[in-house]
Amino acid sequence: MDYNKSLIAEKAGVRVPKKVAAPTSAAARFCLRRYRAVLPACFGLLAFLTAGAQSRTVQPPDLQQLQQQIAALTASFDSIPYLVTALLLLPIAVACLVLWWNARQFRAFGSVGMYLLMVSVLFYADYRSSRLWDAIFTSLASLFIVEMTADALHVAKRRWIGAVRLVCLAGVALAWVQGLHWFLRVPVDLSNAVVMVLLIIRLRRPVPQARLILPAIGIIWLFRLPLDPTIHSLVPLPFTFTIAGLRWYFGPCAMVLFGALAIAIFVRELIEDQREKERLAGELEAGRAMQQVLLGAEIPVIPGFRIESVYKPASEVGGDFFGILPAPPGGVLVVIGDVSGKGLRAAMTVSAILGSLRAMTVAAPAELLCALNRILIGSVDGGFVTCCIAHIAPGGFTTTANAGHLAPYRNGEEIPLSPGLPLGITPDTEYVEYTSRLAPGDRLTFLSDGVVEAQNVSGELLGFDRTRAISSKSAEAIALAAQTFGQEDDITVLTLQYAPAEVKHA
Amino acid sequence: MQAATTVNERTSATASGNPVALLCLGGDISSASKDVVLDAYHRVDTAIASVLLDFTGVGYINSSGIAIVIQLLLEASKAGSRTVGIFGLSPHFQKVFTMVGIPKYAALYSDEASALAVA
Repeated sequence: MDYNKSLIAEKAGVRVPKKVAAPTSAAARFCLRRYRAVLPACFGLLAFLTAGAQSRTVQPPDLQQLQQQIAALTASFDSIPYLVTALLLLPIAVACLVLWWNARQFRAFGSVGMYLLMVSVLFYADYRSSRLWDAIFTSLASLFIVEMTADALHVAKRRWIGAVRLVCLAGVALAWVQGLHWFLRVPVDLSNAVVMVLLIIRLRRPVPQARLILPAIGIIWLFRLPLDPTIHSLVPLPFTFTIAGLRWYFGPCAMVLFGALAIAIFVRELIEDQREKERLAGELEAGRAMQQVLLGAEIPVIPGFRIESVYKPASEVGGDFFGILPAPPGGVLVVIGDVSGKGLRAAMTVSAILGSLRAMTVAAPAELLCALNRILIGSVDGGFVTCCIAHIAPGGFTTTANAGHLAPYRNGEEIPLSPGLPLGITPDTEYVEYTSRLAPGDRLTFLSDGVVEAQNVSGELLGFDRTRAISSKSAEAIALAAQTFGQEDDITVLTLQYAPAEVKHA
Repeated sequence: MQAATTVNERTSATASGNPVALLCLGGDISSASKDVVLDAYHRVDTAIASVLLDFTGVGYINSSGIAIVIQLLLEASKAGSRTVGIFGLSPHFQKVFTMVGIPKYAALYSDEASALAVA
């Protein structure tokens, strides 16, 4: 154990207080002196008073036996600080575990709670002078201090931490084996070494999440150091202090202080986390509102084209966008794309793209993509924007250019567009136009990658083959199929059917 | 939940005996992978003229991950002294990589043997 008095004393070369040994604290010595003086007198008085009737049966007890009983009593008295610290640590441990139960993403809450619980039981075992339980909980506390340190300092658990677990569990198993009590030092010393390594890792590469808990764990580590007899002999720090006639160990008291500090830090983290969530929720709401304005605008009625669109956002504000813009005389410009990333930033980029498109006077898709690319350079923060633009002129003459987006489908077949780099990556990108002519009744289907990359529970993607198979269905049916398969991202589907006959009837 | 990106670096040789640096990627490739991937690329000995990116161990690549790959390829292209090849992609990601124009900057191979035969 960390602060097993017998182990500490053994390691520090101090005489161990046994049940039959003389009491060591001032209070205990005071009690013993009083009892030694008073009890024989009491028994003498009792013998005198009962001499007539029971002079042959009542004898004063053996003085040595009495001394042993008193010594046991005072040894127990000496252990009261362990009981006090165990009782103080227990509610702190429970509070940490309750916090973890309600906020599972904070793993450190759980491991700190478990560590303090182990230490609390350990101190109780020390109070009861149980060598077996002391050995068991010493090993368990050594295991959990490593887990706690790694979690609290946000250090990725490596394979060698697994080795520490094995050694600590071996310590638990060997606690039952007579003669192997010396093994108890191995988990303690090993955990001290690993905690030191973890502290050094985090000191060299600080992270904001660990700035408060780091010194607290450092203090605990310092108080555990003297458990190593070599270190203790080199730096003979005082182990104890006396209050109210009771001898208190620094370690357990530091542990209680650490527990209280940990609770304060965790509650602060929870409050900060809640504030961050509220801020993100506000941002999400703003992004959603903006996206609804951008994508929810009514599709213009353009004679000769039947246009359907479906947009199914995922849980976060995504970066899908599309636009249907009249392209005089009598044509239509279809734009669909996806901004990498999510949230308000993606929504702002979508806003910039659609705003720019509406302000542009040219209708040639490749020119439009080049212009958008120049606008987006330096504003996509290491990401990019995929975009496909098709211009359909009267007579069904279609010109399409693509910047890394999914190629559209024509009557269920993928249009063989030349690939092009997404927008916002490099300024000198050029785009190749593909021309074709739609026949009356032909259907073009434009999709976002949320369709192709819909993922089922076993991790299988909807994929390109299945997408092609459903690409001639209605926009609503395609979106529903992808959503049913397993929506992971925004799903946008836009279909356009060329219907020139309707122009004549109009 | 995303799996952390790993990069194992090793060297091999082409059929003609030229040294090739292999960066074997693992886990998921996303925005969080940027430093891991680009640092590994920057560690490659400047004397090695061919680099192969092995995606065999990669589970998923999102759009930010693709942006990182493109950034790496553009850097190699601008330097002009090094060729980069890619292998180990699933058919789905082969198509995605083709769609975003990556073949203009890096050849896509089905496996390591065919990559080393041509690189």
